[in-house]
Amino acid sequence: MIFFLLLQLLLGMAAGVFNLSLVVVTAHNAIAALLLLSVVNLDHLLTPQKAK
Amino acid sequence: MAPVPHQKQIATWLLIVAAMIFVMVVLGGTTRLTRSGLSIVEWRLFEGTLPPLTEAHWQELFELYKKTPEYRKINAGMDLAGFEKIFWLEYLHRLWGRLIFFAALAPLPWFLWRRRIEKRLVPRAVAVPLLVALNGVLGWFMVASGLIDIPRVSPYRLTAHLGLAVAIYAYILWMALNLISERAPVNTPPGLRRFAHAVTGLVFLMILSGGFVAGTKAGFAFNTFPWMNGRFFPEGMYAMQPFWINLFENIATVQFNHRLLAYLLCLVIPLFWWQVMRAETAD
Repeated sequence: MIFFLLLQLLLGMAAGVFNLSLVVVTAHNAIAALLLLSVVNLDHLLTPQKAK
Repeated sequence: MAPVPHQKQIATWLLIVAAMIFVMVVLGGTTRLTRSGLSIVEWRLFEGTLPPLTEAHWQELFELYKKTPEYRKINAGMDLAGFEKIFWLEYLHRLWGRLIFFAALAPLPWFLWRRRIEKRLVPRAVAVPLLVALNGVLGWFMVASGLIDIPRVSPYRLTAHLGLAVAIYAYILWMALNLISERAPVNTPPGLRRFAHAVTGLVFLMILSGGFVAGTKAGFAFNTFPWMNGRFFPEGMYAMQPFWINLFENIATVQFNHRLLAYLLCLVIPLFWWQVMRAETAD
């Protein structure tokens, strides 16, 4: 999660500096989805299962 | 307790759909960045599955594109070869959407018929292909907004399309994790659980804010960091009236808010991580 956050920040800054280069912005989109995946996973782990 | 075999099957199905949505989010961003999204001006659910196979069909689609504001105002003079280039990405985006719908729908009747899905989970599982279909409709609704007079799609519709895709992705992941993952001890502090929900919500909000950055093309406006044209608070941040419209349509405010949410996540995620680690150590 921390790794994805840092990578996402770097890509966000690079996207601006490199005038929205296709590769950088595409990676920025992908890492956003991976960051959400890692957060959802941790959120899920911390949420107890409801009784069936 | 280890998941029972049919739970694993259902989770695999859901994770495949989630992975396909992940690819779709990336592909959607690329489609937009290459200005390909407005190249197909019709929404033919079944006939559109096949690409043009004859020169005459290519020409017919190109003639339709020539009537759009994007061609008239931005791509005037583009030849058929140029049109083919932007056509393929949008075609792939739509084809992949159809495949996601197929992957979300196809195994469902079998799972239902074999009673593989717990009764209480049936409505949630049925919702998966319905939500995917809804986002397909929303995608066309978005494209349609860019075919009228201004050669760009509505940032609201674009963000709704992206937001729904990401929400479906998170929803499917959650369902799959419910089936295969070991849950946390029940004694997780309620405060930490609320914090986890808040962080998830904040990341989702950040993605929506990115949708508005893309939709308003705010990313092209300020190419320095951390300053925005030499200032922390860019000029003209609240120049539009009424006030709320700045949050969605003023490129200075839209990009500033995206950065602000990033700063907030930089504080909140490490703090959340530290809290989780502390709770684990306390156990």
